[in-house]
Amino acid sequence: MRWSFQNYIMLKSSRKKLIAIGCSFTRYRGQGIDDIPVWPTLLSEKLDMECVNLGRPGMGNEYISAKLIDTILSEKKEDIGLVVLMWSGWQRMDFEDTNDNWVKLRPSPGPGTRNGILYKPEAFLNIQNYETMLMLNNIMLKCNNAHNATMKSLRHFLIAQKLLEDIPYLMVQGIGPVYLDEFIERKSKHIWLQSFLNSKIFDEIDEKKFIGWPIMQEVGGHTVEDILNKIDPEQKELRISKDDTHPNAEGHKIMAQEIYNAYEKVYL
Amino acid sequence: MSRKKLIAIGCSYTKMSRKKSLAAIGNRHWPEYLAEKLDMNCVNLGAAGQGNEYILSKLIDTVLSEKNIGLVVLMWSEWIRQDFQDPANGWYFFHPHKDKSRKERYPIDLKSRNSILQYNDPYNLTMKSLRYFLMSQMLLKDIPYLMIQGTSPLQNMNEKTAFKLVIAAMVESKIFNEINPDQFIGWPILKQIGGYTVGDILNKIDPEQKELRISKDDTHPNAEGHKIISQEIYNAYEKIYT
Repeated sequence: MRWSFQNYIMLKSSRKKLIAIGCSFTRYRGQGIDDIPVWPTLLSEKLDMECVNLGRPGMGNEYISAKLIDTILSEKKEDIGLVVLMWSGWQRMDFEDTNDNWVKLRPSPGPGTRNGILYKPEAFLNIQNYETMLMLNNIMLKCNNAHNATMKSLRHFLIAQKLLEDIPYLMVQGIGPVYLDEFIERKSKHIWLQSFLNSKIFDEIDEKKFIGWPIMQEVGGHTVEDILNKIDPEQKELRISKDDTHPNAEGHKIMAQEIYNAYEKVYL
Repeated sequence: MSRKKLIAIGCSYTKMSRKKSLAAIGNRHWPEYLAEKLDMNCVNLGAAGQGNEYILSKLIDTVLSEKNIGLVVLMWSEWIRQDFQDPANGWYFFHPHKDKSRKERYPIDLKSRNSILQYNDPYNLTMKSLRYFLMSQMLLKDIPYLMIQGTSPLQNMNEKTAFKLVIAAMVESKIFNEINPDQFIGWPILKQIGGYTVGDILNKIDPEQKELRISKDDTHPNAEGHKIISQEIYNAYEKIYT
C-alpha cells in the first residue's frame, strides 16, 4: 500500500488517546525553550496513542479537575486509552475566565522579605498597589493554609478517581505539594501530616493507580520531583538550569518511563 | 431495622447560628420538618455563612462515613462564597462581595476585597458551581438525593451584564445538559431561563417578605417559611421516590 497523508490521518484517528493534564511539568513553555519533548509526547509514542496534552503552566488542581470533567464530557470513553493526571501545587488557586482563559493566584510565603530581596509573587502582578498585594497574599496564604489545601486536594483526588472509574488512568504528584520545611515550623508540619493521614479520603485512594502514593516522603511516598532528585540530587543533569528547575529533555524521558512502568504493571 | 437518615447540607437556609434567629424559628429548620414527614432521622449539616465548597466537602464525608441513608438534600449556597478550613478551628468563610470583615477570621480591607473579585468573577463562580453540581450528582448516583438552590446564587450582583454573563456561561457549558432536572428542584435556577430558588418560592407566596421571613433585617425564612420549603422538597421526593 502506498503511504499517503490520508492513510496517516486514518491511522492517527483510529489510535486511542493519551490525555495528560497537569501544570508546567506536563506542558512546559517559557524562556524561549518551547521544544522540549515533554513526557506526554514521549509516553504516547511508547503506548502508540495519540497525545492530547492539556497541561498548562502555572495551573493548580482546580484547573486539572475542570479539564478532567471537560474530557469526560467531550471524549468518547472508547476513544480514551489512558488519562494521566499529574497533580500540581496544592496551594495554587485557579480562576476560570471566558474563552478557556485561566488566571492563577499563587499565594506564597515571604513576599517582600525573601532573602532580603523585594519579592512580588507572580500571582499578584496585576495588582499595582504593593500594600494591597502584600495583604492579599498574606491573607490568602492563611486561608489556603497547608491543611486547607491538603483537604481540598484529597477531594480532587477522590472525585477524579470516581470520574475515572470506567477509564484507564494513572495519577502522580508532580511538584512538591505545599510550602513546608523552610517555611513551616516542625509543630505545624506534624499537624499537617496528621490531617493528611487521618482524613477519611486517605484510605479511599487506589494506590495502584496513584504513582508514589502517599506522596510525602515522610510516610513512604514520592513525587515526580523526588524521582528526579533521587537520580540527580544536585539538580544538574535532569533540570533545565539552576534558575529554572523544570525537567529538561532527559528528565521528561525518565518521567515518561516511570509512568509507562506503572501502566504496564496495572494495565498490561 | 433502624430508621433511615435524612442528610441535609447547606448554609444558613439549612441551619442558622444566631441565637435570636434560632429562637424566632423555635430551633427547627426545614430538615427537621422534612425528616418528620419522611419518618427518617435528621442529620442537619447546614452551617451559616458557608458556601458550596463546604457543601461538597460535607457530602464527601457523608458518602464515606454514613450508612443507612434514606435521602440526601443539598441546598446550594451563594456561588461567590469561598470556604476554608484549618485543623484547630474547622471551617470558616470569606464573602468577597460584602464587607463582613468584622465577622471574618482574617479581616480584609475593601481594596483587597475588590481585587479578589477580579479573580472570582461571575464567569468563574458559575463554572465552579456547575462543577460542584456535577461532582455531587456523580457521588450520589447510588443514593436517593435532591438538590435545590437556596439563597439567590448571585446576591448583590444585579447588574444586567453580570447576569447576562452568568446565563451565557451556564447555557453554553457542557455541564448544563448533564444535570438531572428531576433531582434538581428549580433547575436551571435562574428565573431568566425558567428556573427558581428557595428564595423565589418564598417570594412568590410572600412578595413583600412580611409573612415568611424572620424580619425586614433578617430575611432568612421564619418557621412558616421553613415548613413551606420542607413541603416543596417533600413533593419532589414523592414524585421521584415513592
